[in-house]
Amino acid sequence: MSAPAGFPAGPIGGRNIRRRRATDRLMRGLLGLAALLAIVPLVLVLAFVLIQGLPALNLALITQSPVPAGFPGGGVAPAVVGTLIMVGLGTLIGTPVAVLAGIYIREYAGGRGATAIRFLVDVLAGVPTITIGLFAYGLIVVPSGSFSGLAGAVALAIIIVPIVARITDEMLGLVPGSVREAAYALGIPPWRAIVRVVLPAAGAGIVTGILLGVARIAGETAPLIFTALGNDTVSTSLGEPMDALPLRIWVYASGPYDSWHAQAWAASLVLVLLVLAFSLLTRFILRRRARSRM
Amino acid sequence: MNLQRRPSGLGLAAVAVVASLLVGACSSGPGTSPAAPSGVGGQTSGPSAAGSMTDYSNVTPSTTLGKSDRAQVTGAGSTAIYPWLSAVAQFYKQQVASGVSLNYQAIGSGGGITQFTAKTVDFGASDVYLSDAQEQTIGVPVFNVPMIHWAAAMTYNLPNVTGDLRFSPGTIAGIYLGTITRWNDPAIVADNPGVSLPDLGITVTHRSDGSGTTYNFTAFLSGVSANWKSQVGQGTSVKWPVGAGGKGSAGVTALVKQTPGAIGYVELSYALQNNLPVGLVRNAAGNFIKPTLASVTDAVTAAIPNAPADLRFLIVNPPTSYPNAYPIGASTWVLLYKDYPASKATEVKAMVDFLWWAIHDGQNYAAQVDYSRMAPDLVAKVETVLKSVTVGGQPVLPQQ
Repeated sequence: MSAPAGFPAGPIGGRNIRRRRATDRLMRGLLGLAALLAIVPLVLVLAFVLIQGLPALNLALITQSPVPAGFPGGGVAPAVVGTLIMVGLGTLIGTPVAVLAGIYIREYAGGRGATAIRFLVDVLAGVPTITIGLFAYGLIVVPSGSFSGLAGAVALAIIIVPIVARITDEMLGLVPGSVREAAYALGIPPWRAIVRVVLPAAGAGIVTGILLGVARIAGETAPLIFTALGNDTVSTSLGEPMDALPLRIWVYASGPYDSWHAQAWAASLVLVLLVLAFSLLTRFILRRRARSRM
Repeated sequence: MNLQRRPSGLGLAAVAVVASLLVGACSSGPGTSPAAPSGVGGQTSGPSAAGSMTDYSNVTPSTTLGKSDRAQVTGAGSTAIYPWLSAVAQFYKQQVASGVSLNYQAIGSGGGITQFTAKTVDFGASDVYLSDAQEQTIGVPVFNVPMIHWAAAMTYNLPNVTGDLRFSPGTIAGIYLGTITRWNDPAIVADNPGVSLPDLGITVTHRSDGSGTTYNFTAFLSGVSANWKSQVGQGTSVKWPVGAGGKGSAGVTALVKQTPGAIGYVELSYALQNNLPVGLVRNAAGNFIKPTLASVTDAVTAAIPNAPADLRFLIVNPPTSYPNAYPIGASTWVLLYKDYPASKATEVKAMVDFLWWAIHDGQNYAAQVDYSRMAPDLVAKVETVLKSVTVGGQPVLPQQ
């Protein structure tokens, strides 16, 4: 084989190699810098939330209800409970639909159908979440005559579906064809091959996708404004208005009271910690399961 | 995406994940739910702190709501009434019915009217009564029930100016029309002899959402400025010639607090609780009046004799015969349906009982949070209205 066109011929070494090494170092440095820039905001955000939020973070914050405007004390217990319920229910409703849809797209839809559905799912993922909130308002709040935690959960479910469906689709695509063929060669029907071979192989990736989805909807404010409305007392009833951490942070952060600002920061910290704890817990469970199978 | 990892049952993992979330939700529920915030702060030491209890001769015990009754009432609207209403709801819960939670979301009067019209809330609250057209849109008979009075205060952020500034109505109109743009404008200087005003641009702030405070403020300006009346007019949201918008009373207060040179109009308690200065405004009689409980009460007194039976009235621009009345007073109405479906009986009973308490005992807390209580004449009229509220055709309150 001869050298490709445009590739300098001649002996390796001398000034040429020095120049190439310099270019390599420069580009490596630039890439490293870009990677650093990508994580700097994360570190800064976490540090900022930690510094601002820690002073107001105490047991009262997560166990007490808000006090009347401008009064000292109180907490955001209704928001913590509401976020757990609505994110939990939204995930419970949305995830099965999303995973099954992802399986259909990758395993059954076929070339043109898969492209079409993928496109539509991507469109859904691109719909502004405030619009999805308005949709849930028209679908549930107006007919039922009440703002409710259920309406909030449904809005969140609609948001998590495209995220998890596309990741499931991608993860299944990463499972080598040879694995499927090996299963078929043993006489296993396709549905069984999917359930017992393909899905387990893609499992960790799909769970990561679900985690991303949960983290995403846990931080959503816009779809809850017209659905969950907010609540100053702890409510576990899905038919009543419900509070949520992002909603409470939004109200408190845009308000004039210093105590609100402090609690908004602390509530942000609680939200970040919740998502982090959930993510760690899931990974921990996964790892234990994986180990117990070996 | 660790594909080398040993297969891990996806379904089970997902279920476990969700289950752990739900378990978390449930376990944090019971421990926290009924716990009302214990320390509500030094300023609230019971009814006595608010001054003498007014003796309303015809106070009948409202409903028989007891400590064991549970209900959640949802209301939304006016941000101006929020500090008083949230405080009164808290005291009602502590002193009367611990099982009744009033969930009031301060989304603005415009939002309150919208949600009341869409029938998604048990009650709305608005700083302006419903217009005939709005009542027609709702389609069922409704009540405008006055609850409390307050002042729309002119608040501002001038770091080096001590003492309260004075504003003549024309100056405020000029500032909001954009013809007065600097704090050392001759018009402002003329209102404030002896005060050294900085050569600083005025940042005009107003409400960005539909607001009853805006309605009362623009009604005041329309009454005193022909230019304002012809160019802008009055409404819950108007086409502002200049300025930046803030969402809710809280949003405008935050804007003023954070912006040197800013001016805004907010319900008085928002300004006072945030240590913002409050300007004096010249009334029809020519006196510069500070918004206080007394000066707002004067404005209410001036308006009550002419208040129509449906209780739709404004208290801005009181006549010259009330020389100490504040010119930008306002009221907040709770919006109720005349008849509620029988399925809502518990909520409505709790709601009407609470409102009954709010127009009697609740008025005693008004002063603590810088609102003006309703005049006894008005309370009597409101009692009649509350007694006309029905559930499935049956009155909620005892009729005599």
